[in-house]
Formats: sequence, structure tokens, C-alpha cells
Amino acid sequence: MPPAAPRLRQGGLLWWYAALGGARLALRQLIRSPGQLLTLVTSPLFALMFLSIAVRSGDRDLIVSAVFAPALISLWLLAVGLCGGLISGDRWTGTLELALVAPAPLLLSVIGRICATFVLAALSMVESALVARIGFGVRLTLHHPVLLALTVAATLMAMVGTASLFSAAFVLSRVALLFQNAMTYPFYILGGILVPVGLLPQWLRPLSDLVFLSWSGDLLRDCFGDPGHINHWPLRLAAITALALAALAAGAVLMARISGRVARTGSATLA
Amino acid sequence: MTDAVTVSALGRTFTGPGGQSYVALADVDLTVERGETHGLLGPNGAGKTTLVRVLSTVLLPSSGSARVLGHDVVREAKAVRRQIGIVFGGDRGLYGRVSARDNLLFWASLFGLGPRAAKRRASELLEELGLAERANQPVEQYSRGMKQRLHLARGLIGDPQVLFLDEPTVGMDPVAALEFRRIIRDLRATGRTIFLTTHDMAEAEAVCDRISLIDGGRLLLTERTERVGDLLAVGDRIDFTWTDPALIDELRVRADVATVTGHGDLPGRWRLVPADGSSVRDLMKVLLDGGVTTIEAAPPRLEEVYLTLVGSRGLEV
Repeated sequence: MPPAAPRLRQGGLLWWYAALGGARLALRQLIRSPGQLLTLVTSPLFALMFLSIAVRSGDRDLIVSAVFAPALISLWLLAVGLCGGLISGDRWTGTLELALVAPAPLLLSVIGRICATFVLAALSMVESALVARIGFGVRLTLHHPVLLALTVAATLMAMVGTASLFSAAFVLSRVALLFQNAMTYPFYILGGILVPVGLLPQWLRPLSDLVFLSWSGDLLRDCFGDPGHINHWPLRLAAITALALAALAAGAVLMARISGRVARTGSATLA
Repeated sequence: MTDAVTVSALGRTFTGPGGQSYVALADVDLTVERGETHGLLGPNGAGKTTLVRVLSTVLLPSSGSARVLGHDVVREAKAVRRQIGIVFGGDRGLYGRVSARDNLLFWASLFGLGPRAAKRRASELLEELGLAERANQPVEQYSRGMKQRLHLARGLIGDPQVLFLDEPTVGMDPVAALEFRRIIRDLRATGRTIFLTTHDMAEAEAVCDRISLIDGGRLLLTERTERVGDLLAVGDRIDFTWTDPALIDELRVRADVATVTGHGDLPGRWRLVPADGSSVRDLMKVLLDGGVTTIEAAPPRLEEVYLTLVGSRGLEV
């Protein structure tokens, strides 16, 4: 007897399965190519460097910054590099066309793949904390665990949104490689990763506010800083979420443009 | 019941980097019935892949319309996508670092199969297509034939009613290609509609119920495979072996003979095409009387129709 026809879900379940399937694929790919998560090796080295400087200065805020900076750098590097090149990679392997005409929207599987990568890469936060504890005897005291969980979740969401945006933008751009190279250090500065935003010139603040890393970094530091009340935390959390959603929406628009371009011209790129 | 594929006055034009236009499809009309295995045959650049890409909603048509199972490929693309499977030829379209099973589980999720259903479906297809034993091996270690079977498994993951196969055996060795054709024949038995593009005439003859010839973006003919030879407006042709040139010269001037030409690679092999209305039987008697003992009469094959209508560009037999 022939096997029963598989039941194909639609709507929300289809979207959920697509994201889940994307996450599973990414995990399998990372297991087969662990070199793609090289940031997990470099992150403790960055932590050593930053903490050496910060501990010597004796500034408590700077020490907390130095613990989180390597993790945020790792995640940002992944957003720009590995995840940013995801759709371009699919174009080269010939899977993009097939994914574009699958019943599930491309964005969902891309989000799943990016999420899985970031969840693994978030281990760099643990690595940094361990380097601080073991290497420098720095013990961070967590005063606001719930806010920390919310901030980490919002930050990962913003990373996913930004990576989706990059992933689509790099396919459409004629100078993707240039963008990829340029989008590291300026964002570490604007995001307050290397230097707290408060120490930057005032005129940079509006630009810095548009980079979710600046809000994330500040909130992460505050969770370990003052045990008292944290000023405007709902607003700051909302800012990260809003920037995440804006990036995700922009990514969705660009993916729709890729799909439209392929349908109209037969090619995904402008080049 | 609606046809599986209906194409009406379909056109597709591409614009090159310099702004010049290139017509890939022009005024194509075509109907494929449900359950039919239809071959689209033509040389490289004839428009075969463009037509498949339009029908599978990858490309928008420039003019005309196309329907798959009654759904318009532009306005109802989502409905079309749920009911079709696409298999492109060649190495591309798979994630090489991960296993065949991982590939299938991913594509199953994009078709809305839950984790358990996806596992079951992937296992069924891997078993059916002879990949079960190496299902957990990275795809980059697969042979061309195995990759193509995996492509087919991917195309079947959503249990499609219409399957588009775009040059599925290109680059395969003959044994793998034969095996692939057997699989296509098995699929035909399941009642699916199969739309196959190829420039391999043996393949088209082996698996297709009907074929269409396309060249320069225009459909030249559509006919049942066994009747394609009738379209040459000639009867059976006669192949024979003879080394004496006198008999050949004598045949060439006869009014009931259209042509006598060398045939095949070996010397002394000839093909006689009778003139319109002349009797194959009478001509065979002439050959027998002349001393010829190795004679074969048969209807024109697809290859001859193809050569007559398209020429020898991009030909692979």
C-alpha cells in the first residue's frame, strides 16, 4: 500500500515549522563546519585584552563593559559575516530560487537559521564572564536578573533583525564586501562597545541612539552596576525592541525585493 | 477536471546588461493533461528552462498566461507552489555539508511538514530512491547520480501533483541516467503529472507520453511520442547495407525515391527515404532484387524529426 500523503500545514504552523527547520539546518551546518563559529575562540582572547586594560584602570563601569564587549563584538561579527552572507551563499549554491518558490516565506527560514547561530554564539557571554572570574578575579554581581534576561532576549532579537537586513541587503548591493568590511569598528564605537557611549562626543549621540548595541550595552552594564532603580529601563528596552522590529521589517521588505527581482529579471543581484 | 498545465500565448523577454532585449519565449501555447508525462525537447537556449521557471513561479511571464492545476502562476502563485515540485539538473540546489536527510528535513519544513511527519516523509523518499544506506553522509560526498536522486526526493517532499524536471539527467553517466529514467517511469505510475525538459531524445522517447519541440522560444510541435514520426509527412524509411555504388546511383534517380544518403558511422550503410506516395514494399523488392540482404524498414524516429525541425544544434542522442 502506498504511504499516506503527508499533511502540509499552512499559516502560522507553516511559518513555525519553516523557522524550526531553518534553525535545525543551521545547527547541522555548524556541527559539520565548526570553524564558522571561530568567534567562540576569539571572544575569550578579546576578553583578556579588554579586561587587562579595564582592570588596570580600576573603573568598575569599564570593567563591566570589558566583560560584555567581546560577546557583543562576536555577535555583531556573526551578524555581518556569517548571517549576512546567508542569502548570498544560498544564491551560489542554487538553493535560493528553490527557497523563494517554497510555500513558506523565505524570511522565516532565514530567521530560524540566524536564531540558531546566535543562540550558539551567545555562549561567548559565558566565556567572557569566565575569563573575568578566572583570569582577573572579577566577580560580577547581578542585581537585576529579570531585566538581564529581557535585555539579552531583546539584544538577540535585534541581532537577528539586523542580520536578516544585512543578509538581504548584501545580495542586492553591488558593493556587499565593502559594506561587510566597513560595518565593524564604526559600529563598535557607535554602539558603545569599545568606549561607553557617555564618553563619546555629544554630537555622536543621535547616531549612537540608532544603533541598538548602545542601548543593549548600557542596559547590560546597569544590570550588574547599581543595585538600585534603573532609570527608564522600560523605555530603553522598548528602544532595542523597536530597532529590532525596524531592522526585521526592512529585512522583510528587501527579501520581497529579492523575490521580485528574481521573478522579473531571473537574477537576484543588481550586478 | 482541469488540465495540469495550460499555457496560452506565453511570452518572456529578458533585457541584457546593454539594454538589448532577448526573446526567450514567444507566443507559446501548450496543454498538459493530468497524469501525463510531457517532454519538452529542444537545443540549449531554446527556452525550455525559461518555460519551467515560469510554470514553477520562479519567473514572471512578460505576456500571455499560464495555469498549473487551474491556478494562475502570477496571481495564485502560492496555490501553485503548494502543489508542485521542482527538480533542476546539475550539482546546485543542495546543502553539501549536511546529509541527505538533513537536506530533506529542511525542505520538508518549508512545505509545512511538522518534525515527525518530515522525518517519516524523508525516510520514505530516501528508501524509495535508494539513498537510505547513505542518508546520513554529507551530500558533498555523493556521486552525480545520487545527488540527482536526492534532488528528486527534494522535489517530491511535499507530495506534489505536478513535478517539473529540468534536464534531470544532464551530466549523468549512462547507467545512472537509465536508472533515473526507470525512477521517472515509476513516478508516472503514481499518477503524477511530470513535465520534463531535456535535449536527450532517447530520454524523451523512453519516458514521455507526449513531447513538444521548442526552438528559439517558439513551440514547433506537440504530439504523442509514438506519432511524432508521422509529422515528417513521409512513411517508413529503409536502412540497408550495400557496397556497390552502381545500385546507389540507380536508386537515386528513381522517381519513387526521395533521398539515399549514407547512414551511421560504418561505410556501406545507407538510408533510403521513399518519395511521397511511393510504396516501401515495392522499394524493398527493388533492393532485394538488386542483391541487398540486410534491410530494415521503420518509421522515422524522434531524432529525425528533431533534426529536420531544429537542426543539429546542441544535439545529444
